[in-house]
Amino acid sequence: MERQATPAVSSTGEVTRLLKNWHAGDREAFEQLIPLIYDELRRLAGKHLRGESSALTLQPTALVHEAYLRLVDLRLEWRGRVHFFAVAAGVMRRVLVDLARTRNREKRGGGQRPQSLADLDLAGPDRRDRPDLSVIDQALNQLEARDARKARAVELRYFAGLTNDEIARVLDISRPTVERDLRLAKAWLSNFIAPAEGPADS
Amino acid sequence: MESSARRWARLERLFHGALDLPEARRSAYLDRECSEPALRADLEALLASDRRTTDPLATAIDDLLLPSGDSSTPTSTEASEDSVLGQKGPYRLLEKIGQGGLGTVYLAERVDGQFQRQVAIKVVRRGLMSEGLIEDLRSERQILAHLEHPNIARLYDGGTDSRGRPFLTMEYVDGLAIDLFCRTLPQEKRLSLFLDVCSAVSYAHRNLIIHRDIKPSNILVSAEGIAKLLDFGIASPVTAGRSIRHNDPEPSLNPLAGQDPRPAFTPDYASPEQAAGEPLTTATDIYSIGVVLYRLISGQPPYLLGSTADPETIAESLRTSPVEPPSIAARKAGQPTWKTLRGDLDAIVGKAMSVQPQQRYGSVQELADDIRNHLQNRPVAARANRWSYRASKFLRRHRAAVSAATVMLGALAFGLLATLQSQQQAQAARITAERHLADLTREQKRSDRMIESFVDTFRLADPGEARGETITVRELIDRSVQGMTTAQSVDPELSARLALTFGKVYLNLGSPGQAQELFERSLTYFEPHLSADHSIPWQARSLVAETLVDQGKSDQAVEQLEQDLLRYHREVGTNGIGLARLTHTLGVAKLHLDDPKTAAQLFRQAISLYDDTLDSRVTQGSTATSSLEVAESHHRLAQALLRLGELEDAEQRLQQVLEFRRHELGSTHPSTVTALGDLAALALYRGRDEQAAELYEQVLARHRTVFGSHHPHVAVALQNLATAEKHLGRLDSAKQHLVEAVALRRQLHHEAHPAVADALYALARFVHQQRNFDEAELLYQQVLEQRRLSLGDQHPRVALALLGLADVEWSRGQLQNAEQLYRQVIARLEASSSHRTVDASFAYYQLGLLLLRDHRWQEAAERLSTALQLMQQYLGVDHPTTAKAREALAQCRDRLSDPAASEAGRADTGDQ
Repeated sequence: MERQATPAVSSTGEVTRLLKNWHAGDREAFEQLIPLIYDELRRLAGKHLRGESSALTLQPTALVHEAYLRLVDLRLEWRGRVHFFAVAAGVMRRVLVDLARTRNREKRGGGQRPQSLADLDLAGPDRRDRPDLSVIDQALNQLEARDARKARAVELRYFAGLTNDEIARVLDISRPTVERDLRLAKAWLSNFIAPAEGPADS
Repeated sequence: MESSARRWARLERLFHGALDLPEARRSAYLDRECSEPALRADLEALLASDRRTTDPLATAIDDLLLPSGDSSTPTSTEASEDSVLGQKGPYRLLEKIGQGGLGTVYLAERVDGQFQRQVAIKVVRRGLMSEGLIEDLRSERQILAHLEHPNIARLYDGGTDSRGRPFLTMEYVDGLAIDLFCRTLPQEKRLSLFLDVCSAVSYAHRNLIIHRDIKPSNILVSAEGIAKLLDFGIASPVTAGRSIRHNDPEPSLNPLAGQDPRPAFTPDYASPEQAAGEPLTTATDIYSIGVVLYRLISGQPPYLLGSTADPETIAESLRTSPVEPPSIAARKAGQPTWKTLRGDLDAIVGKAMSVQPQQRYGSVQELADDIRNHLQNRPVAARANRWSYRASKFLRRHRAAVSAATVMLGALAFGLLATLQSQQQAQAARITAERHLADLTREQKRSDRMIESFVDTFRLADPGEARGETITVRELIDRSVQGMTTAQSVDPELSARLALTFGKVYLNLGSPGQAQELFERSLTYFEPHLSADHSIPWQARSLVAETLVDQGKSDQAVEQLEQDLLRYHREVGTNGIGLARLTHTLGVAKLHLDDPKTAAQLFRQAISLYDDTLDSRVTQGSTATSSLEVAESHHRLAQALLRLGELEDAEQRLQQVLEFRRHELGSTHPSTVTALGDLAALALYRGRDEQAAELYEQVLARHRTVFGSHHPHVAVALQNLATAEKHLGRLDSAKQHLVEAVALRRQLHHEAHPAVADALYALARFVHQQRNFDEAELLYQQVLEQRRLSLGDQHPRVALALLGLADVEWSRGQLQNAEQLYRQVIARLEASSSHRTVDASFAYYQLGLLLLRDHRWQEAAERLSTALQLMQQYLGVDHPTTAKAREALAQCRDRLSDPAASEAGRADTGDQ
């Protein structure tokens, strides 16, 4: 699409300023940040999915980085940078879950498109191995209710692509703790989505 | 009610606690730590999920963001005009910069001018688009996405172009291949660059990724001198020490056919196991960086295989052709620096490039540490710390003494041979005498005199007296011992030393009682005459304890050893060979007392004590320690680890022990064969039947050369070989071996010996599985009779023979008979309190299934629940039979619509 859709320079300054303010303790800055980042991520993701970018990217991580490059003044110090990603992770999750829901609606409703064999397969038993993102979102909410920190670590890892070191910094815990948190969280999510069928048959 | 937060905290603690243990020990851990069934079920589900390789979250995100085939893009007509050298997404391809097995790499830049950045783009090669290759590229992306390291080229993103062709964009490294870059560098700089590479590879390994294609052209160095590892195109994740890849290597091979199941590799840098298409571990990368190191320091390749030869030939030549040390290669090439490579660097490269993966460095980190050691002039592990290296050093230093002993031995053995009853005894005598003569030589500085005296002793035994009659080794030794007593007045010290030596001979001949007497006799002399810190009396004390273990008095041995250890600490100190021996022997006793954990700890201590003494002896030039003793500690440690379920470590050690003994003692020496047998058992245990069968065949062949065909060891090997063969489907040969084992047992023992019945039982089970029910029934009945005879009617093993008969009835469809027999078996087992065993679990299970078929749900559920509980404990939750029992139980509970059904059957929700 038109290239002009990139945010104006003022927006770059705006996000950077808000990040700094938020870091300085201004809670409202956070509230204002969210829609700005959401819009940008949504736009990038949508562009990608409509095929207009010829598949710019496969990774939410890369999307978030791309958004970062567009939204934030590159001279921002690292702590601000990490904060951006910390915010963007949650936002990215919302963007993707919304996308997944939209897509599901399109698939279910309409009926314009004849169902292909592949679609049928998707609804079949294989489905448990390929869960929908909206299912994962529910799982994450459940995990959050039990252990908010672990859910947050998952968000940072999967939706913003932070390294374990960076996650440790954001959450103010040690790196081994991050690793353990992620391991348990992953097993828990995996089990929530597709309960282990007892011992594997191999 | 327990708060959910507390429950979660417990779950978390137990989850990580279990993960810290090897898989085999988790179930026992949970038994101990978690008594609450619901929590336990949750934990097991979590652990099972943890074992999965798929990451549902990553997959879901991928599914969402990967434009699938159906979302055909409106711009596709326009895009189809793209040439290969055109646009990939927002990137413009500038030039082709590389060609790999999977794809082509282009230099590219962003077209929107947003960011000034050049990237490398990798595309699947034209005409090669296939599911497999797309999957490869996808897996490379997933692998790279998780790797962030200053010395690994970063992944920016990836995608599919307008025609659905996948591509990756990566950090573009404008640099030279590392070998070219190093040409102009001084050696220290080369090594420090190499250390950066190690750090990258080590990082990948920590993330469970094997690169599998490390070579100079995949390591580029930028103008700023930063090395970057590239091309994870054929990298693969590693699980449980093995690499998994979509294509398991199979024997068919033609790398050009495109269908070759053998993954691609670069012959000049591939490890032998890689060329052979075997499963790979991180050791393959260690080999390859070894070759890179060779190249960097010597400027020469270790060998040139090219790519013309077929993989078989390459693998063969990698395994058999010796490699010149880099220093020699450098000298031949006229490099002035060749001398600096001698010693440390030769050894480091040699260790990294060992043909056997187990002999390489355990990790890239260790290799890097050794290079740092070299750079800082500290001793290098590749040279100093390996006990086999020390051992060969030792032997080289004492060549004279050892060969004197060997010559003596030859004469002795030939002399004896003529008069012995059987060759078997001669072999045993030769082996025992050989070992102890060697010991004798080592323990005694005046070895020549010692040998002379030994000969004298035999003279005293007066072989002439035996002329014309058959004399056994045993008699010969008994006479020698008598003669020794006579000689005591002449030289009491010598006499005490000989008592020690002959004690060892008795120990090995299986007469621990007589051995003990001799050891104690030697002690009565040594105690007053030698200083408190002399190693010989301490050795005698260890040996006394060993005889106690051999006589089944391990408790007593532990008691004695603990006192000895206290005394040693008081009178001698905290190191020394004596302490090493006491510690080792205590380990042996603990192992016998079924405490492998403590035993392992003790063996580790013993090894490090031995190592310390080897170090100090090297400088003092004394000769007290035999490396064979260290090998024994390693062997015992491996046995303990085996019991603890630490199979990897056990296997590695056994390999080392085997290698070492082969080298030092020869391949037919009983100690060597014992190690081989343990390895075979390990392979069988781990389900590597092919390997197990092969090893057992070797064991069998060697036992036969040493013991002849009539020895219990041979029977054991036959039975185990049959088990492996059965798994492999080689049924004829399995049966033949089982029949042989039965025949051999009958020859070796009297008919009522339990071993005969055991061999019969193994045959019966086999025949039963082959569905020869009549033959099986006959055999089970024989087993039953013999066990009744030898063990008494009430013995639980009698019940097991009945279990066999019950199974036969079941197989024949005689369900009423079967049910009755199962009930008998259970009644017998419960009467003898042997119902909490794995064998009992089968009786409960079978009876449960029978009842299930008959719709007697209530009792079926009870029986199956008992079975399941036992199976989980003994077979593990993962065992297929455990799973079947769980399923059957869930079925019962469903029928009973028991309120507990939903919980117990939760795992089965997927089924109808």
